[in-house]
Amino acid sequence: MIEIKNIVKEFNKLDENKKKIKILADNDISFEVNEGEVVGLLGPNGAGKTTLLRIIAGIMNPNKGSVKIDDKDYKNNELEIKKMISFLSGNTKLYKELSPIELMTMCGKYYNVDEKELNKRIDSIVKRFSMEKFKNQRIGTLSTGQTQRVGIARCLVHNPKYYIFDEATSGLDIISSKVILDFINEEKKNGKGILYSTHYMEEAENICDRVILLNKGRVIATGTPEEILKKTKTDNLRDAFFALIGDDNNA
Amino acid sequence: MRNVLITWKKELRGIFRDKKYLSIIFLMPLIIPMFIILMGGLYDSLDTNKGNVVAFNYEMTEVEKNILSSIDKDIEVKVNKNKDELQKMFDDGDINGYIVKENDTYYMYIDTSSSEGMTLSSLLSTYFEQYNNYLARNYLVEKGIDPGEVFNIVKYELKDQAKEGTNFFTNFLISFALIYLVMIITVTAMNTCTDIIAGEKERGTFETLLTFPLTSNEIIGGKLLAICTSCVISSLIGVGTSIPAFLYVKKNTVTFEALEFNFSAKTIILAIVALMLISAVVSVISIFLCGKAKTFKEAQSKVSFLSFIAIVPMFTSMMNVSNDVLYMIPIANGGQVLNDLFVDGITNSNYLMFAISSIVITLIALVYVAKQYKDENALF
Repeated sequence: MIEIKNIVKEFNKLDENKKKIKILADNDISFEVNEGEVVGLLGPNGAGKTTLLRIIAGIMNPNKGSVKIDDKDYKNNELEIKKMISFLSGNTKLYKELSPIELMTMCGKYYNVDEKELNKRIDSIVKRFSMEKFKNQRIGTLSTGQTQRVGIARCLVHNPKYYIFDEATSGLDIISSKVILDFINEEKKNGKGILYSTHYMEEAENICDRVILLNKGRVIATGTPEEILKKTKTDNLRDAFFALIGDDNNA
Repeated sequence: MRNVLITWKKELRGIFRDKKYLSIIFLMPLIIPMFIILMGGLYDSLDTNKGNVVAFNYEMTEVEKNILSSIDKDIEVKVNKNKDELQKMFDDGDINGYIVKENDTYYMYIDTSSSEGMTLSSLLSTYFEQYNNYLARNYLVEKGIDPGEVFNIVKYELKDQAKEGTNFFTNFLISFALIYLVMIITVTAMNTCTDIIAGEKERGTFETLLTFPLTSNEIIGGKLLAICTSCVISSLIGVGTSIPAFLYVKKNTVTFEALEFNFSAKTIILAIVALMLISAVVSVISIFLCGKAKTFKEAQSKVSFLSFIAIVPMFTSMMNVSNDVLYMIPIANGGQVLNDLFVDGITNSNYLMFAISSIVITLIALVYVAKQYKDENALF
């Protein structure tokens, strides 16, 4: 289980009032992601989703609060935790000078996967994502859709327990997005815990078991999509979000 | 260590699959042998007493001829009594200069803006000093005075301390070739470091790297090793191609014909270790300078400071700094150590000073850089 408790994050950079920039302002950012569950982190740009996911992925440290994965914290078990998770971001690019096979081999070696097992996994991943034709081509020469498939493929190499997706479908066409969404559904069935951030509300409504709505670094609602719709008396998450941030935005 | 090597391999793949970096690493060092051959030929033509042709508007006596040939045995003398024709010969390039005697004054017509003219001017001044000396001695003898009492009040003799086979030009060429080698290491480090450190952030692959189970020390270690490897390859190409270039110059020029190099197995091993240490220092300083840069441009401007440091060996070489402390100053000691190894010979203590100071500086900078990589401000 991914367990997030009272996370606060501020940056050393100063705002116009010469105060430290707070991204995750409240100390009430707490939630859990269980195995076999897809949790959506929703909110507009600048809500703090990426910062929060970077903290959970161990790329950033929070000023306050804690992240525990299977009861292990980053302070004492950083490398062990990183072996359990896989982080895929829409902003993250791949090494253009490597081929998909070279990239997956490199990732597998970083995760200390046994060489025989690694080769087996790579073969099955190549088949699963139909990468046979371009597996030895340099990533820099691949199309956006092919590159996206390679991006997902490299996340699978070490067979992680949890996935963290940050705006993974951002800027992709519907076919490329579908590849990712299908993948999420499949991995959920395989019992993997998935934390999925997006600003596409409709997308989240379809695949998330629970959602956390973020705005300006604050959690404005949590629950299943149905619970949130019921609470806000709206028909979709998009309207629910606007109903929830009405006061906050005017402030 | 395993993760350091995986990172190193990843970075090397990136470098060796990019034509820009391939040309820097493999082609740039070839400037050194080209420089050696070109400058070797040029210095040889500049060297004194070579190919001078001088004309006089009077017939020289046997004494005058003997004095002149004692100064330059290869000098060619022409005689033509017509000054206008002498000027024409000079304009046509048949002679390097000419002398016109009017009454008791000898006028030297030489173009001192050319290297040949400067050499000839110096040579003929020496000739006239010696000729004056000869006439003065004769005068004293005629007056019954022993010339030795007048001319040899103090005695002097040059005891040349130059190493056999070396002269101003050989030292100059060797120093410049070695300094160039240090500069090539610097340029290679600057370029590869900019790409490996800031380029990775700009391309958006750095975030991926951070999600892997790696420590910042392993990331920096792998990157440093890759930059260092590029520098070592580049410098070895430089040294490897310079040796035949020097041998070519030695074989085909007079100035460099007696030049001797030390190419023993021990020297070559020590030189390779020295190149690795110089590369390590330069690489870690490059990372130190551009570690916080987030864009390629920012890194380039930060690391450009290193190009100023790379000029230091040139100044120390020009100023002929021979202080032992020099061996402890990173980068500045690079050219000196290589020069000592191949030409002058190096003492164990000086080599040790160089090696220890390089290792210490690399480790200190490495610790700082690794700390820097734990700082989020350097990453995002």
